[in-house]
Amino acid sequence: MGVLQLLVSGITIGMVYGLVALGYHLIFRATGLIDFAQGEKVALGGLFVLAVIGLVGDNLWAAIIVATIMGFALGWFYEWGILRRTYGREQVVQIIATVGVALLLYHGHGLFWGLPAVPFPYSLGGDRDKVITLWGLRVLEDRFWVWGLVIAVVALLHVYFERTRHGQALIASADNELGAKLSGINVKAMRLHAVGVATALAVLGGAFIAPFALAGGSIGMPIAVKAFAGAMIGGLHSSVGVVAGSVLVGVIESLAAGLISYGYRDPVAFALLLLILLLRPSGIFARQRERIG
Amino acid sequence: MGSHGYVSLTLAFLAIFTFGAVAPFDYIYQLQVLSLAGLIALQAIGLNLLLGGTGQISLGQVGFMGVGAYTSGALLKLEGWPFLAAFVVATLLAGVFGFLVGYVALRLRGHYLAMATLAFGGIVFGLINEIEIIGGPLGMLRIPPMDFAGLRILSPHDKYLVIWGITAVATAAVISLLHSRVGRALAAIRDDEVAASALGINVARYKIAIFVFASMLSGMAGSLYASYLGGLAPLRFGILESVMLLVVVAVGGLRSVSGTVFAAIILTALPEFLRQYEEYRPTAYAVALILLIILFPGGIGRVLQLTELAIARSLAAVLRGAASARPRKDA
Repeated sequence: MGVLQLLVSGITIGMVYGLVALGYHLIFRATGLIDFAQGEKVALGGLFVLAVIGLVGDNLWAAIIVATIMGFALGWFYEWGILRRTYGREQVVQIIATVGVALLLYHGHGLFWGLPAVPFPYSLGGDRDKVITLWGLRVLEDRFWVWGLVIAVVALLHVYFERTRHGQALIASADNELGAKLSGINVKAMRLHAVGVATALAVLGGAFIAPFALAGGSIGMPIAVKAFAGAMIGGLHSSVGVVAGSVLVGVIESLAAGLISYGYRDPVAFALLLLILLLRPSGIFARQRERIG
Repeated sequence: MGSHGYVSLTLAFLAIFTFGAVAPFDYIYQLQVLSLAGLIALQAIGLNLLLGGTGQISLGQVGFMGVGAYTSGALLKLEGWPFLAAFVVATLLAGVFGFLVGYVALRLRGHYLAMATLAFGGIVFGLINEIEIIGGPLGMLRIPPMDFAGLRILSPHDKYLVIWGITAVATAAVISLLHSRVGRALAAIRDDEVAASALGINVARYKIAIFVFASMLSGMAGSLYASYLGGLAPLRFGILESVMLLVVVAVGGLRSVSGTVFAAIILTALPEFLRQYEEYRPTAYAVALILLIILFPGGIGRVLQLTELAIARSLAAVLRGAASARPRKDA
């Protein structure tokens, strides 16, 4: 594969990481936590879509929408049942609780679907092998669908945060809980929605990635780490930065896989995270004053 | 760290060693299960020290175990080193990696540190699958057994005693560390780093030292594991294994060394009694982990502590009753 081909597939996978990373961003903004279950929700995405298709028949787009709503509901339940009980406690408790949820989603989905990943014989554009040739570069049509959809989702979220009262209220409740409460914002409800949307995004990411890979299985943890790397490069506070950082991670891992060896894909992406955390823990696109930890 | 359940811990170790000494030969399977529990305990004590000592977290402990196991395996098998030398070098090399990760860890806290260590574990896992000379995805076979200056450790009983012996020494070392000046410095760091450094405690040095110590315990466990089994499979060093260590520490109770050892034994031995439910075990562990950490973060350690206190109180009451028939005013 040529370098350009690698770039294209790297951007596609990076876009999906971007959706997942947006979930980190949302949950972090609303609750101050990093959700270690975010990757396992991606693994659920493709499986939800398959389950819905199994129930109502072959309509991929309807199934993706239903699966996303299921993800939203799962996120609500997750926030209400578990996350809510960890706010304000030691970080160790928060980490172990969300790692526990990751473990539960991983093994729990194994009970229903089996732990090996499941084939996903559907395509966003209708024909999974359809190739579009652009300036001599052959690109799977599905990749363009992912690009378009992710850009649309990011634009929607941006408008939501910047232009709607609801989005502003969410940011306010994350930045200053007491101030938000005093202004009459229902902080509890905001957190519920944030985790709901984050989970829906991860499920959507899982549905988008499934046509290129498989559904379910153990894809969760690597995606969790890589999307987090993307989020850290972009700086957790900026939604556009988070997606840009994730695309960078996708491109770098794709180049590593193509130019060195497929087996180095994960180690290179993970090492990138360590490097970022060591050199510039507040993110490359972030403003200087933002501190972490 | 409060009171600690050390009486239960001592009794547990006595039981463990007695079992190793007297178990008949058809108990080989039980010895194997408990030997692996010992290796998990050895690592979990290190993780417990990180969590309970400086409040740092690691989701990549098995990465250090992988470094230790493969270093030791390669030195024994490919270079023909004596076991003790390989064991020491493997432990030291795991410590070097611990230093590097610990250095990154200095700048990070909480969630970020957890994610960084997760990435470290993933890197080690990826590399041991990739490097040909140590077997790649097929793993490493025919690793020579443990031997100490010509004394080869071959029988299941002896291996069991060596592993638990080292685990017992490590446990004692960690406990005495926690009750020394160092332990008090660690407690100060955990509660408030700024206040601790204002008291003249070198926070960075302590944090790195504890990180190195924990990674060395994992490296030791790795070296013992390689020679114990005589073979290594990369699958055993995945992220899930690191998460299982966290389960052990959380079930044992954050900050309780005694609870950690109990949890390592119980969680490793339990599946052997619940064979028919094997399918549901990991899911059940996940549920138990979530419920425990939210509702009862004291875990087994707290139960041990409360039980010991209750027994001590009733014993005291009985003794008092025996000493004088009259009830004392302050009783």
